[in-house]
Amino acid sequence: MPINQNYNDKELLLLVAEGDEHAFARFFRQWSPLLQHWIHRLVKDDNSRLEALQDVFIQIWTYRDKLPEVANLTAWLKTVTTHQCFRHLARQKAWYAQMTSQTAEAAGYPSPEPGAEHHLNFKEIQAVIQQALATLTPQQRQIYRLSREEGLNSDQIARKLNLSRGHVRNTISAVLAHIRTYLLQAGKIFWLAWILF
Amino acid sequence: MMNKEDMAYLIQGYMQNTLSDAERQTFINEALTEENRELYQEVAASLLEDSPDLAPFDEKLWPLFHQVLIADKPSLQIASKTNPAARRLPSIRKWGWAAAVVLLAASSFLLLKRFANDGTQNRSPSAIAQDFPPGRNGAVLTLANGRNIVLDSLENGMVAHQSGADVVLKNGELAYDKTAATPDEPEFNTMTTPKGRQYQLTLPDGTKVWLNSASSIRFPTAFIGKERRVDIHGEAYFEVAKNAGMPFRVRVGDDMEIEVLGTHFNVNAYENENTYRTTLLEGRVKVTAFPDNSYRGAASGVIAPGQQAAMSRNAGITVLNNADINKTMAWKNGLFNFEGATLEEVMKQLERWYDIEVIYENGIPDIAFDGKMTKDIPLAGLLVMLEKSKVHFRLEGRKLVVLP
Repeated sequence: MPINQNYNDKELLLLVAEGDEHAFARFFRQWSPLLQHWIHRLVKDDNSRLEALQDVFIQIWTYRDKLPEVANLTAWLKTVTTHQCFRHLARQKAWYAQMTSQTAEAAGYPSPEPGAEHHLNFKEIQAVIQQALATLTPQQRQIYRLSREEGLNSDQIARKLNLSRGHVRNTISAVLAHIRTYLLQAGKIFWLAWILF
Repeated sequence: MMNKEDMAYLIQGYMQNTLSDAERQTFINEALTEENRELYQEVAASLLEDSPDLAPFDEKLWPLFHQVLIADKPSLQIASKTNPAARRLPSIRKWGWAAAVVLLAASSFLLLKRFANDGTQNRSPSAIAQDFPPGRNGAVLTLANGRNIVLDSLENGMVAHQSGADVVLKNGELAYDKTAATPDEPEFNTMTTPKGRQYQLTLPDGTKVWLNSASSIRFPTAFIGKERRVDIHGEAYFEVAKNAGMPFRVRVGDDMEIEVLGTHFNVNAYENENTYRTTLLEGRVKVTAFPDNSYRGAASGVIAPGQQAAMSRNAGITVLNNADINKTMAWKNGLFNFEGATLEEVMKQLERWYDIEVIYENGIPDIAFDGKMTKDIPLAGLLVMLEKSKVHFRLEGRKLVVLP
């Protein structure tokens, strides 16, 4: 899917904020070369690089309602990226600790079981998010489901449930904040101070 | 206290492989700690250009992107019957078993990863999850000569050569390839799954067997004579290869025998359950309870597809019409199916899948469950949902203590 040049960055971010998966796919296509370049400057082995990239995008997605408010998107993405690189380097501490400089140089610090570890990392994050979703109130769940499973935007959800659009948006923001809290407590993300950007 | 220059030196030296062993230790043990995280991030960010020359987008990244999108789909739910609003069916079930298989290879990394987290993280829900990952594919094959082969991590290829057959592993399943004429005396192999493992194998006659956790099957390397006989414990699903001239018999200890001609059926016969259940999907089977175990009631019954023969010590064999096939086969399809299950039934499944022990502090609470979920989530994810179903408990090592 080529980038649709009709969407400038701001409009694209507004669509992503509404949970539009196609818009987020365009965002992914647009930004992943730069984020990959950055990650390649900080993390050595290919599998950790892919994990870090995926986790950066999971973090962006869980902050989607806030994206239009970000004043300096490049700086914000840099912060998310350096954090996920730090997290993945720290995850591998025990592995590094076993290696002498010779073996480390020869091996280039690969993960012992790269493919599997990648899935494990993802499964852990998915499990944390699912734990958060398991504790929603019935109305939160109903609204969030219409957003994530039926792909409706807040206008469509508001019409369908006869609620105000503001209420729907606030509810989805509350759910995302709830997910972020769980990820934060599990050490998967850290708190991003929006005002600084 | 580390300063910016030190941090920049370490980050760049790490990437260029120019650190000494001592410097590498400093990088690992000091730079990559929580108190220096903000410094790391600040210095790392300063090393990143805002608009470098970039490679074009890598189309191979789309699967990674699609995983991002499924991470927050509200798809996994179980709920007690008292909370019908929370009832949900999982739409990610198609990933369930596949993901469990993927985790197979992952587990050997768990130990390392847990070590890596020591002292740097609090005991969060996800920390519990790391301690109790879901079950996965794996089994131990005991050959006739007593040799044990652990099948959890073997690659495809030949496992053993026995009289008349090569034992080969293909895509994580065990199969027998006949290489020679049928031998006079077959050898017997036993496949055993511990708690937290499932396994699929193909018997020498082409019969497919799925073995649930904490189960075993004993079978010959070649079926000769008038019948095909295997012995099982625990739970197994059979797709028996048709051979009308050679009936297939499944024996459960000294308690029960199932005679079949060619059919698909599931046997649930854990010794710690009150009832053994044989459920038929296709064909026809005859279930016989052996008389020397003081069963009362009918000693045998023939069942048709959709029926279930329940054998208990009090009532002998009872044939139930309209068996719940989805519920019976959930384990093979990578799901927990808790529809209509009691707390005790749910807990027995968890014990076998997560290799834990469940203890009731003051009797078994009377709670009925509903709903399904994929079996590939760590225990912590399941416990959160049980808590929502008003089940209270605490974890003590591998013991889950259920509170009144």
